Amino acid sequence: MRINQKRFLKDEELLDMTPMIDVVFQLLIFFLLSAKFIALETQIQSFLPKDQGLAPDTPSDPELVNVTFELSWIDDGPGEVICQTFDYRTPGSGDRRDVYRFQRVDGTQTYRYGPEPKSRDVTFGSADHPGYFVPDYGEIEEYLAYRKEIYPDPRGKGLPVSVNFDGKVPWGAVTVILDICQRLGITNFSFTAKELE
Amino acid sequence: MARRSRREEEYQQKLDMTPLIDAVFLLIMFFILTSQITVDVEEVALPFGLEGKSDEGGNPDTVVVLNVRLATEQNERGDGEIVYRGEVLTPKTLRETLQNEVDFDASELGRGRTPEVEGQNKLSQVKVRIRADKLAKAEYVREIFQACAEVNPKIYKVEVSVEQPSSN
Repeated sequence: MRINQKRFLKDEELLDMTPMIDVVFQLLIFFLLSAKFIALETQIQSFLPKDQGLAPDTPSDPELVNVTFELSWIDDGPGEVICQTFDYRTPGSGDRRDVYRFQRVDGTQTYRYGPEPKSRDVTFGSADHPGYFVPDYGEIEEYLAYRKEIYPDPRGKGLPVSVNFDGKVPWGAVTVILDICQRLGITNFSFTAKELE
Repeated sequence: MARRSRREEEYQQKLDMTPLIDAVFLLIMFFILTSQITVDVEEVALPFGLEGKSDEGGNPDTVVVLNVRLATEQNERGDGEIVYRGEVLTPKTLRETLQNEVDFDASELGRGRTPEVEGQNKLSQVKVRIRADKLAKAEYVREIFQACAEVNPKIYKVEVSVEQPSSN
């Protein structure tokens, strides 16, 4: 009789935790899967000109030699982004040329971007949009560094760089120049308004 | 057939689940608190950039996040659409949205920040963050730049979102 009573008491003590643990694990798995681990998203500051929406195509002061890049899009199969600059000075010798088109690289291939030790392997295309040719950003960076070095900086604002882009150019090809300017400490940067089409 | 001793039986019944449940609840709390419930961030393939600075963690209300994603019904390569808080904007509604933000920023009921004055220009303190897909045509971003310049007072603080390429 005594034994029976004890067993009865024990049964009551046994609260079944299994369903609760099941539910808790389900919740845990749900939050694990739904938590979005955002890839390191960062921001590049780029202030628009305060006096107008976009800078005029020609610099207001012709004595201020700014560096202008023109990005255009050639739609031939995979497509190509070309980058030209005007009033080109050859790095080193300083020889002038009216127009210069930067070398191109295959955007479908992995591309080593940025100076060491920060450099990373990147590609410009994607599975849906199998790549395109892009300008050699390494060459552009070298050129900008050279121009910055020889710039006399009469107004203390640093080398003015403007980028004029064709509306069809993929946005990713434009931001690289912005990124290069940040790296070189060029803050006098603007997008220009001229339509290329 | 040897019967299990009573002691053994009691030990088995007394498996304490409390620490396990505590740990699991802590994990749940952690994931609830860390997962961001964001409505204004679209999934886009951001362009890469090595020089971006991470968010300073200021008041998120002061940043207007405009996404440029690839159009859901894509007609041509790189066709995109400007999305603000899940809504696709036309050039007209884009300007209206930015104007509303600028007005709200300056109004006393809103953030009450007075526009900066520089020369003859009045400049809003609203900041626009552009999260554009790297494959979207740049004309959509230009559209945003133009809209920023057309609202009154003008928006000049713009930031561009980039993604840090993974190290290799």
